[in-house]
Amino acid sequence: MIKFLFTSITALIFFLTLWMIFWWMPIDISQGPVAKTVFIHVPLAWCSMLAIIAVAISSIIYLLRKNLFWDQVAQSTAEIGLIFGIVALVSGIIWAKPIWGVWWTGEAKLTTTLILILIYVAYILFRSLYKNSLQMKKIAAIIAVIGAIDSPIIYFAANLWQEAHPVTVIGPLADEESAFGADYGITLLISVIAFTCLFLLLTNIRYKTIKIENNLKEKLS
Amino acid sequence: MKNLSKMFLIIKLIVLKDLFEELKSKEVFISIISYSILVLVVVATTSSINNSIDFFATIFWISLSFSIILGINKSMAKEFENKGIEFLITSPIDKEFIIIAKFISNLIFITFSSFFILLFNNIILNYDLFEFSFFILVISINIGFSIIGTITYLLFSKVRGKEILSPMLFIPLITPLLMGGSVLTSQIIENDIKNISWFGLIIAYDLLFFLIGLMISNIIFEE
Repeated sequence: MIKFLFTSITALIFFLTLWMIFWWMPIDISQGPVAKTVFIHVPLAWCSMLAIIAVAISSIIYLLRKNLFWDQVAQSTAEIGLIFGIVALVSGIIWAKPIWGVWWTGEAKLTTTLILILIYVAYILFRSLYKNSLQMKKIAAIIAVIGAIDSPIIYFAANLWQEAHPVTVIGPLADEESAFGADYGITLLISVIAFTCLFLLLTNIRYKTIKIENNLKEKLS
Repeated sequence: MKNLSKMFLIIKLIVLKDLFEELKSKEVFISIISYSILVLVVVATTSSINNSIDFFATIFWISLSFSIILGINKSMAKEFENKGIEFLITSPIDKEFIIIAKFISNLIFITFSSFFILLFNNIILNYDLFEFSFFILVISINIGFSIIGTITYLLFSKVRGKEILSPMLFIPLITPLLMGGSVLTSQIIENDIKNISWFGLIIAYDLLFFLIGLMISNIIFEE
C-alpha cells in the first residue's frame, strides 16, 4: 500500500514537473530553450550526490556492523546513482555545447564528476568480478568510501578553482546575488523533489532484486 | 619508544629486501623508464607543438603516471608471484608496517625513475628544468602516486581483470595530483608560482591516502 502510494505521488509530481518545465516556465531570453536542461541536470546531479553520500554512509555502517542489509543498500544505491550521474553529465554536455561552444572543457567540476563516475564503474565491476565473499563486500565498501572522498571535491571545485562552470546557486555555498528568480526556484525545487522520489523508488526496486538474487545464489550453491 | 624502533626496523628490513631484489632484477626501473620513453617518443613525434610550456607539463605527467601504473603493478606482482606477501602476512608483524614499507619501496622506485624520465623529457622536448622547487613537487606527487598505486593494486589483487580495474581506480584517484602537478609545473617553468594552494592540496591528498592505507591494511591483507 505504502509503495503504491509513493509510486503514485512520484508519478504525479513528475507530471507536474514536466508541465512546469515545458509549459509554465517561459523560455530564457539569453540562453533560449536549452536553458530548460537545468531543471533536469541539477536534480540529476543532486541525486547522484545523494547517492554518493548514501553509498558512503551505508558502506561505513557495513564495515562497522557487518550487516548484509547495508551492503545491499550500498550496491543498489551505487548502481542507481551511477545511472543518474551519467545522465547528469550527458545533460550538462547538451547544455554546454550551445552555451559554452564546446561539448567538454577540462574544467574541475566536469572532470571530478567524470572521475566519480569512473570510480563507481570500478566499484560495480569489482563486485561483479570478485567472487561473492565477505572480503569482497569489505573491499567494495572501502572503494565506495574512497569514491565518496571525491564528492566534496566536486561540490567545492567550482568555488575553489573558479573556471567555466557556473557557481553554486543552491546550498551553503550559494551566492545570494546569483540566485534564480522565484518561478525558476519553484520549478527547480519541484523537479528536485520529483527526481529524488524517482531515485528512491528505483533504489528500492534494485535493492529488492539484489536481495532476491542473493537468496537465489545461496539456495543454488 | 621501543615499539617505534621496532617499527622502523621492520619497515627498513622490508624496504631493503625490496631494494635488493630490484637491484638484482632491475625489472621495475627498466619497465618504468622504457615505457615512459615510449610514451614520450610517440607524443613528441605525433605532435608539432613541442615548444609549448603546457605541452611539457602535460607530457611529463602523462608519461610518468602511465609508466608508474606499470611499475607499481610489476613491483607488487613480483611480491605475489614469489609468495613474499604470504610470508609477510603470516609473520608476527603489524599489517600497517607492511603497507608503509610497500609505500616507501614503491616511492623509491618511482622517484628514482622519475628523475630519468625528467632527464629524457628535458632532452627530447628541449627544456632545462632542473629546479629544486620542481624536484620537491615531483617527490610530493610521487608520494601520492606510490600510496594510491599500492592501495589500488592491493584492493584488486585477488580479482581477475586486476590489470584493468587497478588503473581504473588509480587514474581517477590521482587526477587531483595531476591537475596540481600540471599547473605548478607550468608556473615553475614560467618562474611565477601563483597558486601555492595547489601544493597544500597535494600534501593534504597524500596525507589523506596515507591514513586510508593504514586504516584499511588489515582488511586488505585478510586471508
